[in-house]
Amino acid sequence: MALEYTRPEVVCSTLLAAGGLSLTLATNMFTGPPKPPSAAIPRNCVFIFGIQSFQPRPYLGVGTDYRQFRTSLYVRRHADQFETGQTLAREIWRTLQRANVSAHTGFFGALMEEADPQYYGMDDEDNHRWSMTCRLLYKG
Amino acid sequence: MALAAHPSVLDVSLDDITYGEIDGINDYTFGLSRDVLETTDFMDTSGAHTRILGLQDIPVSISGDAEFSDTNGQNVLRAAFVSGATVYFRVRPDGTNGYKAQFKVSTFEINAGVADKVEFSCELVSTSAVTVV
Repeated sequence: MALEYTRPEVVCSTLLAAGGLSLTLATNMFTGPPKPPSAAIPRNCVFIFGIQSFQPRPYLGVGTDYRQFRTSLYVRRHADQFETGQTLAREIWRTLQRANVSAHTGFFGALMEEADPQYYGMDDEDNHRWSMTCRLLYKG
Repeated sequence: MALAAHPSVLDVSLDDITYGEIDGINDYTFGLSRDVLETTDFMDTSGAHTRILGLQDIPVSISGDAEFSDTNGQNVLRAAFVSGATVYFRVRPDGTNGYKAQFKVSTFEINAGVADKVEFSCELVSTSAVTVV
């Protein structure tokens, strides 16, 4: 049985790129853990990466499993742009909550784990930070 | 050697020839039982019961995630509940060896929590003796 290669962070980034939030993959939205600002990574950006998920539940016989992926979304914004950053974080939440993920093989549901993005204060470089978790339902 | 459960194959048929594997199942019980009839009488002196075996009964329950696109599996059971049609149900715990018999679908229950999946459970009552496959 060949396991399908699943990439929940790509599901999220695809939804956000199409969500009218001015987020573009590899420009101001990245898949992977947060990295400090650099020539290639702006201060104002979003990181999407998988975090600890749940035990898969196999279906009998058919060779498929039910899996719940947990994907963390980390929003970083310049110190003087708190309101803009908070608005973006909430728009990301709204875009992903109950999103239609059927275009991605095997995925059938998206639910956020928090009612609102969580604000984490400022990092060492005076950037505001928000975080939220998207739970993606998958069978395959 | 113990058996892992996940290779178990559960399938259903309307003609006992062509079987369709049921998708979405993650729990099942296939109960094999027989009535036991007491035949001890007052003339018996052995000091023990005597018994004979009576009719077989094979209650089956399965449950898992609802799959409305599972044409040859769950949908056969769902339609059989509505129509009262007889189905043939087969279970093979190791994927090859097991049992089959003829059944009626006595319950087909769907339940869902708003933040979770749609799940279903189904019970079958036997209308034939069991066959080892």
